[in-house]
Amino acid sequence: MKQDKKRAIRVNLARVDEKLTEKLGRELAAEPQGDASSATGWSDPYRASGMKHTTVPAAPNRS
Amino acid sequence: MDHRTRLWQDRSIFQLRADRQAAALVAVFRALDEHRPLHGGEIEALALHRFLSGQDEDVLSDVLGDPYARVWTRLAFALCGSVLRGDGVPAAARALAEELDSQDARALLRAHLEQYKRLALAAALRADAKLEFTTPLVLALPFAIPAAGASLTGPPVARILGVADGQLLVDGDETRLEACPRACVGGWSVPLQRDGWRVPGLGWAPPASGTSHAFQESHRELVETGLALIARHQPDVFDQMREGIRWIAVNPISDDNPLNYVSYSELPGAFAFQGIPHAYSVAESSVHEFHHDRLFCLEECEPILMGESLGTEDHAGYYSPWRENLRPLRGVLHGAYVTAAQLRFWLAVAKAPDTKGTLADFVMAQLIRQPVVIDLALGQLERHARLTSEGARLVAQLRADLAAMAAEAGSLGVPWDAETMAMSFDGGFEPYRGDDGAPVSVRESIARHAREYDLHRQIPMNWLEANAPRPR
Repeated sequence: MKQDKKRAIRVNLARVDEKLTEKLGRELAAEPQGDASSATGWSDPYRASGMKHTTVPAAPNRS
Repeated sequence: MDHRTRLWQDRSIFQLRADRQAAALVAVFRALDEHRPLHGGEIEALALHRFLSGQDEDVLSDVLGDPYARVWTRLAFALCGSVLRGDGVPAAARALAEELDSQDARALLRAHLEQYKRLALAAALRADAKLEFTTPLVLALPFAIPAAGASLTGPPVARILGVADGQLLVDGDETRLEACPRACVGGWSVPLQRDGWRVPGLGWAPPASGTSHAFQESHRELVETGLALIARHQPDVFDQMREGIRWIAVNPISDDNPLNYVSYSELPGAFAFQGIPHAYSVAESSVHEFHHDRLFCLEECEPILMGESLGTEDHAGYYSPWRENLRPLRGVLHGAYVTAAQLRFWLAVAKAPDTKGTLADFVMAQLIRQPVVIDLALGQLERHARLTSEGARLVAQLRADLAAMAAEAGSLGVPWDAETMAMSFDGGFEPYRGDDGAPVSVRESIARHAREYDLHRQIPMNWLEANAPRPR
């Protein structure tokens, strides 16, 4: 199961951004903010609902 | 950093997204530990998180970089927040609520914490560590093991007891571990993982989920040939994909499945596309889907559209040159961006010395079509969208890039209009025929689409006149 190459994108749970983690912790206990520009993105109601992109191949205008 | 680099090349956005996800995961477990909202029901998950946190960075980067880790973290954050605040079921957990037939956020959180075992066992396998669950993980098969490029298959349901000696400990002996086929190009080996979407709480899966590993294997060479075209013509895009994409899957050919080509903001690093037997189709689809992910990431780092401009599928009111239904502005933005990415690809192909014959004809038609439809979509955004300051800068850069690419296409001798071309199933290219069997020019097809589907007449008349096909 070992990977043959180190990932360029690194994850280290011992070195998380403490300020952000604390902010997210506060968001967990508080009402979600509706303004996307002020939220971390994890509590924002628009972005938290995610977006699925689908493309229906309708030649010739398929992107 | 200049905006062009930000739009197309900046790789720090992927790290920032991973950092935020890691912070959200840690915030969830700290909150669970502090508040104990399940009155003990969170104890095993907390222990598993300590196990996972103790793994080295290579293991964590593999396992928590798997698309499922995002799904898990997103649901855990939403459910934990709802339980702590005493809210109902959050929007992000609607699919899970339906699957479990429960509207109790606390029960959903409890069930979801059980699924953390998927990530813990993946870490144990990856680290060759021993892990024993207090209670077995009961899951539906097939199960795409995160970061393993393999699935557990067999009976409909399996009970996983833990991990030992680099193997899953499964109650019963009817399960099988099946390695996914892998597309290998330029040192990149990417699993063709059909099962990755079969996870609790996602609520949908592309048609690839109904195929066999043999079906994926039968498309492996096709995928390799398509990815090799990206490596050849756009090495920077290929390198970005190599860093960020964890698995892909091939969908069977079908005319009308809306999930034929799909990527999802909450499943970053994974996409599926239709197995049209044409290397350039694979290349274009992969460039297209990867750039959805890149734009998801840009949006997450810094919002582009404000509030209601983001819209949802339920609030779709805007003409899009790629779709027959009206779209939210966010969909129009994504269409413009990914088509600009495709245009960059086709420009690179156009400049290759061996691009001749019907390939050159096809590329030329793309170099006519894509600048026109991107211009149309950007116009929609410029007229209707509420952009953040970052969004205004990026859309302006997209507009500037479009002008530069259109000029470059012009310098390559691309004419005003040409006959529409399509990829054929024998790997070649052929003239496209409309429903009446007659050929149709690129600009005529764009104008027809606008006439039929711009229901609210949002495209200015002077734009239509300026971009009309010229009389032959």
